[in-house]
Amino acid sequence: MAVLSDNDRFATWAEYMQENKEAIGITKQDLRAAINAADAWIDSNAASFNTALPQPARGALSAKQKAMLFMAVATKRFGVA
Amino acid sequence: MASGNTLTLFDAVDGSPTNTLGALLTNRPGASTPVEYFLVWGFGASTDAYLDFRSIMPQHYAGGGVTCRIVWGAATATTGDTVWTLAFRAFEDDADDIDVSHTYDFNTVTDTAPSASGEFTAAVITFTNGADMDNVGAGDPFILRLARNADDGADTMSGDAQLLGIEIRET
Repeated sequence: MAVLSDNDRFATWAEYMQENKEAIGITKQDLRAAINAADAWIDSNAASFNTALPQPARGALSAKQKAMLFMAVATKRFGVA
Repeated sequence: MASGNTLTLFDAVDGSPTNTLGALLTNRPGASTPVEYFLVWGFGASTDAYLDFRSIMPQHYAGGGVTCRIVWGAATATTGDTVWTLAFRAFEDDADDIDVSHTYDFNTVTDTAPSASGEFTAAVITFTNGADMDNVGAGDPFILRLARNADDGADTMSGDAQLLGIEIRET
């Protein structure tokens, strides 16, 4: 899977700024760089995450279901609503 | 009218968003009990947004330049700058037609976000009398158009800029 398009990264950045309700002490350009880096990291580490999943989940879950699983764990760990 | 005195005050509720690219009306809750709510207009950080205020220039306006104080705060940011632009459109007696397209001539200021989200600050934009303010005279209806120039490279603040109101003073 390739990284997001520039338009999708822009949309993600804009949506993040709308949804964020906590004080933020960096510029929007720095935030955009972080969005780009997060997307690149996911792209680079997707295979590693997949390998970490035990069978039968690795073989049975779709890519979308694995992404939802990742988000569910991250959401619980960091208390993100 | 003495220099420095207020000509007009616009509260957030006096504003109306443009048909496209309009700012979004929202509220900013306080922390008291019971909670206060400030109606504010949100100007996003990713796309330019516009808001119009309509009024009639008071008869005590002496014809000088004007100073506009844009009172605003940040939704979440504690650093970075917002680029605000303001322009007048006058409707002189039996001369200017609302049905005719108008090119707004914006004046600009870059203002730094307050150090804490929840605080307000005032960005100041001045206009000289005459063409700079589209020749608005005493008794003339006018539109004051405010925009956040979010795609300007100098606009670095993340999240919404929240407008509380605008004060127009005679300079």
